[in-house]
Amino acid sequence: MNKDIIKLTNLVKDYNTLNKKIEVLKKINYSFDKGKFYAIKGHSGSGKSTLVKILGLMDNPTSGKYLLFNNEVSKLSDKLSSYYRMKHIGFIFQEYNLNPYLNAIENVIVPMLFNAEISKKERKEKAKELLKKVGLENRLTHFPSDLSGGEQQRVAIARSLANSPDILIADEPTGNLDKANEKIIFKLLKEMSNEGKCVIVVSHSDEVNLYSDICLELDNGKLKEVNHGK
Amino acid sequence: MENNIISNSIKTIKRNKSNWYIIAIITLLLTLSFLCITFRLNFDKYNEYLENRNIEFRTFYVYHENNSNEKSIQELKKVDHILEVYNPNYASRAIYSNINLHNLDGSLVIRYGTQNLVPISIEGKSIEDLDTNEMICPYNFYPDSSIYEFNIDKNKIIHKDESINLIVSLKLPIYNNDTNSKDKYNDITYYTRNFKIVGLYDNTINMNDNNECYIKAEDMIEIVNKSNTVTNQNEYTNLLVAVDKIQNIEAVREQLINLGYEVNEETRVYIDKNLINTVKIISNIIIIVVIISSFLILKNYIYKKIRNEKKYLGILRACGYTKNQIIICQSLELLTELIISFIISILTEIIVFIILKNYIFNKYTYIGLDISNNILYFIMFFSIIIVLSFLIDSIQIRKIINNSISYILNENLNKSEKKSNMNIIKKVGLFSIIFIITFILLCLINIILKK
Repeated sequence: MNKDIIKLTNLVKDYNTLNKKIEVLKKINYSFDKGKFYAIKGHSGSGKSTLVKILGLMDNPTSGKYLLFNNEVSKLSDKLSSYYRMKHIGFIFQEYNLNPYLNAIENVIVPMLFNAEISKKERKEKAKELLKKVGLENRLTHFPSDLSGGEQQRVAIARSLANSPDILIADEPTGNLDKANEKIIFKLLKEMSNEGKCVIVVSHSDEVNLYSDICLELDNGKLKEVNHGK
Repeated sequence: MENNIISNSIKTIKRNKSNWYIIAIITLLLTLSFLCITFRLNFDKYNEYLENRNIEFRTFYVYHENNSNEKSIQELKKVDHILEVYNPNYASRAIYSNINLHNLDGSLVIRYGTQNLVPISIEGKSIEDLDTNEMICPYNFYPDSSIYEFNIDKNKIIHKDESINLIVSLKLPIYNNDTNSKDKYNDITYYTRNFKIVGLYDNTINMNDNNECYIKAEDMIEIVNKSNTVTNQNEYTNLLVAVDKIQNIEAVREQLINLGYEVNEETRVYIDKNLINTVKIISNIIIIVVIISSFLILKNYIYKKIRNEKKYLGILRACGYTKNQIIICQSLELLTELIISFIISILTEIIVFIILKNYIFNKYTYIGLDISNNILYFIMFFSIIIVLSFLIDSIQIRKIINNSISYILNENLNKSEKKSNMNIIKKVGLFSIIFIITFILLCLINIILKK
């Protein structure tokens, strides 16, 4: 059975500045599988964030194909790309961006509000379950201001899992965290990949090598697998 | 609409202090404008009622140098739209009676009563069935000199069971008519006559005070003649003409001028139009200032709010919210804030209105000082604010969410921008409140000085 859930074919992303065109991604061909933990590395400005934003349907490629579950998704309408994001993709950012006026449970419920497949009753239960999964069962009604950075990022992870996505994309998820919290976050993401999700993490940290199955490097606009020296 | 979305909006409003500042400012502005609308409408209604219902506003003096009173009365009664013609000496008399129920001093006004001048009685006899020595009084009878003050004690009102069949003794002073007398004003005798209240009329229909009673025209003439103030009624050539409707006054005046009469340009009682216009202008300006201030305050508030929540909007987009769903969530929050302001304003308005109605304008309550009819105007006014807010809100949100999600998530709002947005809201709010209060005070001072 084909385990590919993401297939990129000749994916290109250009940015036009005043004087010239900058090619950030150059004809990328790659497939991402279920149940794998991918670490994407590369120097600053190499296009890692651009790549994951295209993967997360938050930006469109200039050219090339992006197949998500064999559906071409690179040029979708707002409504459809929103649907794909809600249904299949969970996103974790360096900044947690939690709603400061909602507690942990309420923040996790937010992505489920427009998901008709989850009933009102189920939402709260699911949010509790997810927070328990990320080790925050004692922080359910705490507000972001009462949580540490690591705890806030775990709430953000629980939020990204709210609609049971198949793909989890994390852009520098531990960029604002200390080593101890970094380990907790990567461990959690590893658990997600073990549960069958495709986890794609952009990180500068070497710690990610310990948890990733495949290490990718983005260099000069090209994506290639590298030995991560685990 | 999902309950969770609404409850999230309410929770966010409840937990975010800055929302309460904006609710407080909008509430204050709405309350002020609602009060203006209420007074504007009630003032209009009161004037309209007075002019249309009270015959004094449709009565004016006429004079014909060649006609006797008798001849003029006969001639004038034939003119279209003229209800009644009578000698002004017999129009009314303020008088003291022996009524001292509920500690009232018995001060009342007796009026010249004919079928055309008196509303149909709601209890007992009507004016056309009245016999001599009988009178018709208001069903909420209040014979006291305090009737001309703002407050009347409602507990002292004489209701129909007490007043009907009550014998009222009227005591009229008769002054010495000898102009050579040295002690003219101290040389007073009294003429006393008893009347029985046999009918009650609704004084709100013709906007009479609650102490004005009608007696037969013949009784009135006799009383006035006995009290010796008129020496020769037939030589007195000024007459009062009562017109059926206020809009017919000009037509009647023209006809009378054509018949050779000198016609007084003003009605016997009239409203100071300058005062009315001043009140109307004040109300209109305040309402316009409130709309403009609310627009500016909400515009800046929404701008600030959306800019501060920009990254969160990006997260919502990343979570799979469509643009419209984000607009729904954000607008719902704004709508909830405005509805809270509206409800508090309406409640404040009702409380202030009840206080004013019962403690300040107590005397005028019978003319129907009312708030219920104004609710529609409040809703219309509030709708303008809501539509404006939604327009600004959706434009601001769209400006942000039309960008790519990565752009929304990457752009940072600097601190000075946040600070300046907040300062604008505070300044506009403070300015408009100070402006409105100063404006009201200046107008009040102006009115007081004019008086």
